Amino acid sequence: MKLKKLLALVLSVAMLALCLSGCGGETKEDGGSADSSGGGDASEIKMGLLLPGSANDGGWSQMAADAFEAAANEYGCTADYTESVAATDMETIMRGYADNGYSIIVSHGAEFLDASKQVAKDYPDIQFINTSSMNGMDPNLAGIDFGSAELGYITGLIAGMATESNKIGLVCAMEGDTTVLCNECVEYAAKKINPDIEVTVVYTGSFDDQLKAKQATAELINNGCDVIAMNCDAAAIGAVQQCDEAGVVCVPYATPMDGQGSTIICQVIQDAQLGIQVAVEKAIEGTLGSGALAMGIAENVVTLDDFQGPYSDVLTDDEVNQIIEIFDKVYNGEDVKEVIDSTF
Amino acid sequence: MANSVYTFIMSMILYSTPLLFAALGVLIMEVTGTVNMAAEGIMAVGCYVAVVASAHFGNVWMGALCAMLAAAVIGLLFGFLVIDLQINQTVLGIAFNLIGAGLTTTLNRAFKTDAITVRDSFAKGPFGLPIPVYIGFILVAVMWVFLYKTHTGVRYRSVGENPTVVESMGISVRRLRYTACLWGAVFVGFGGAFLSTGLLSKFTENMTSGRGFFALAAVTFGNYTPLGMLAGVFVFGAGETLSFRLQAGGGAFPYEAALMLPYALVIVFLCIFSRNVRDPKALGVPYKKSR
Amino acid sequence: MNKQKVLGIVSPLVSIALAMLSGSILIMLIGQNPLSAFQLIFKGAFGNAANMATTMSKVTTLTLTGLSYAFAYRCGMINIGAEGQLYMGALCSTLCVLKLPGPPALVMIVAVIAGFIGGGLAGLLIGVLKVYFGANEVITTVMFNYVMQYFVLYMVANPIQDPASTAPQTILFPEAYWLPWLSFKSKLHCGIILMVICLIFYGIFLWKMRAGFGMRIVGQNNLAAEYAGLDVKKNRLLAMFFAGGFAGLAGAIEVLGVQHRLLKGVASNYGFDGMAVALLGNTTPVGMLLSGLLIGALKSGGNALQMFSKVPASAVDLIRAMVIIFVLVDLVRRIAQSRLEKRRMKVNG
Repeated sequence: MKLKKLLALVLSVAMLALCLSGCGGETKEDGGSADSSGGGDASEIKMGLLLPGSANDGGWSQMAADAFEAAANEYGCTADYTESVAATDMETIMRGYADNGYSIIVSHGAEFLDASKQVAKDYPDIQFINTSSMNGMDPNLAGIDFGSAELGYITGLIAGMATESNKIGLVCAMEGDTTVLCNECVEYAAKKINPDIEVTVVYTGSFDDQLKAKQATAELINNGCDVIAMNCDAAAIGAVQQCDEAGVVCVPYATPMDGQGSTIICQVIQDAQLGIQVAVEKAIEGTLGSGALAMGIAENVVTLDDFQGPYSDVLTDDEVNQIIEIFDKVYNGEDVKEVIDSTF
Repeated sequence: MANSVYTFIMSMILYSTPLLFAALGVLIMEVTGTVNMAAEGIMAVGCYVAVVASAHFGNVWMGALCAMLAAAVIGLLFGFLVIDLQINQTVLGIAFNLIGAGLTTTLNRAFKTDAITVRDSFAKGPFGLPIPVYIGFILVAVMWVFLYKTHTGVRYRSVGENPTVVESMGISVRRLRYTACLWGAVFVGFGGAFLSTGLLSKFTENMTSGRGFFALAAVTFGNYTPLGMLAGVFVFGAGETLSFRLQAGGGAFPYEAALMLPYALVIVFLCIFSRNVRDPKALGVPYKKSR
Repeated sequence: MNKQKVLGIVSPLVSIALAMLSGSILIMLIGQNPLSAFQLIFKGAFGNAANMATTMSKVTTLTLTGLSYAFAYRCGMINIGAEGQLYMGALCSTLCVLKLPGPPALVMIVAVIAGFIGGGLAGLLIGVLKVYFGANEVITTVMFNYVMQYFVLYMVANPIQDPASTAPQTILFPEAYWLPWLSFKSKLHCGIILMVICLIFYGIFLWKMRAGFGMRIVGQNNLAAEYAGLDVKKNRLLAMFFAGGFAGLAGAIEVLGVQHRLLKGVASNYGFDGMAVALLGNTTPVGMLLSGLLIGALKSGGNALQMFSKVPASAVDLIRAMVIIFVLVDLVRRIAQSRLEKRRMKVNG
């Protein structure tokens, strides 16, 4: 008896849903066709994007998704993304986009590079873009680099000047190649300021787990680090919070952490969104082609946020001016490493 | 040296508290014979609701209360499906984890929850640890007294061993298991709330990252006893703290080895201190009232 | 009798339909069109030969990890470790391809066997820990999954990394080492045959052979089994070896047939999906094949839904969960049974 009632309930809900879905569907589709007929030339273009993480991770993947949305709005073209792509699905999904008339396919991260190469070979008319890679490109595969080295050098300068214990802690998620490159640059720049400085990296293994980042930060602070820099997407929030609680200054790099803690002295932001937007717009206009698109400070992809919070406790005005001066020189086209080498 | 041991223990206790609450919840369900593989999903919901409600009421305790209520609803739903409809508990747990992750992520995007920062925090007790940490310890003790020193507790354990006998004594197996599901989910939900609002102050997607499963492992590790479970939680917590401490010390080893440490440590401890773990006999077996 | 058979077909179909309906509500709440969404799922899973082949390769891996769970389950053990065992199998076959000299075809066959044995040994380790150290397999398998994940990450990022690449992965295997294609055009590899052979073996071993019969007795009641003179320890070790072996074979097929290299994250949640496959299919061979098809189709269809619409991955997860729950609840059969019981009661009373 009870089950019968339950069934009746479920079925009636289901019927209702079916009716609603029918109506809802039709109106939606009308809207869609009206849109596409009104657009111009670029509105015919379909773009696909593959993200390694969640499209809402507050960092790496989200910037790419936002860039896509912005480009789609600007040109009225179709832009679809697939988030949290499993390693085993990379090629399948790229081929899926390619077979369905998508003419620009962006894969976001070095882990996609080889899959992009494989697929790009089979679809010579489609423009492939792989972010965070600079090497050996096919004619229809372009690479973008978001200035990971510059990001590291500037972060290293700030942290190196701010530290008094000569111990800098970095909190990262996983040892990717851009992460390693970036962290090497942090160390290089910090050691230029003072060769005694030690840079310690802790990997948490997760871009999602805030608590692990927080715990890792606590251990770094225990170990005497008095400046912490963090780069692990959304999980970095936990690291910033720990710095706030412990009263230790921090420098988020790559992902902006606006308004998260009161001890942020400065942020070095890697605006992958802008980088991808530029690349995608070039692709839509057909001017991208192959080769690598190196972007960084000069292109506004790596930016220096305002000095804020308790920065005056750890940095003198001269030091701040020196950092800004170096940044401006790089902005005006000088090589960051040469500038640092000549200054210190 | 003494100081570093002190900070190690403090850090271990503080950061394993969400896991401790989740394990308490898993324990009470498993003791009565219900496999709780859904802790991960329930915890995720707890994390989410706690942030939203704490921000709304401006009070983390209210947030935790709402998280527990939401978890209770899910616990009862879980109970309905496994007790009344007698669905396989393991696979339902997997489905609930998908729901927990999917639902919180979907809601998060719809309502931009990750923009919320919880400003309130739990008051601190002695040693500078937040009050819920102490509640966790007290609950372990209470759970022990309850399970081994009270009549109701003995019934709970008997239901996990031999529900037919319990029913023949005129006690409703169904009601006992429902109560266990309710309380189990409430504890797990509070674990999630303490994770997102006690130790942290924001919700981010997938922030539970496997803690529900470690809770299950801790309960089995402790041979379904509260104190054993506490030991299991701390072994894991110690491993995690150690893995970060080793890295922060700047040793020359691959970081993968450090991250592997907590998991390997649990296996090693289990082998050294193994007291043949014996599952409750009726664990995972749906109870059918004979007519 | 006939009625039962009809019910067996109709009931799951109704369950899936109900799950789709509730999925539709969800998709509407997100502001998308459910009809086109389900069209996308179906097209993505079965729309053309290539999609079908992709689905089939997922079905292969899922059914094998399902078998892994089922084999241990039938012997009374809970193997949550298919993921770790899959990693182990994948690693062993990769090492064979990279390090073994000799004719590629032979190396490839050795690699498949090595995958099975590697996974099997990983499973056996769990069995040994349980049988001789009393270490509960639920914990050891959960922990072992993480250990293997980080170990494989270390291997592909260091000793066996592709020197030309910066990503955590090995070189692309030369084509001679790939699993042969059943159909080159659609990229359907012959792993599916191995999977079917394993399913048949599973069915024959457990239901037609003495050893399998003994194993099921151990699974149902180990005290009774001991009483009957069965060696519980030996049975458990054997079951865990096979359980690990199937997962390891899944890993071997994944690297030799699909990815053609070992890379980070190659197990991508196949462990838990495999458990769902095993339990939805009631751990019977035919049942698991069907549930493998269902979950595999949902996986590749879910990818398509994400790719070509604005439905996020989280919604795809929710739909998957609903399918699992509705199939488990099995509403139609439940109603039929309660009716039957009522009729019986009427007759008796």
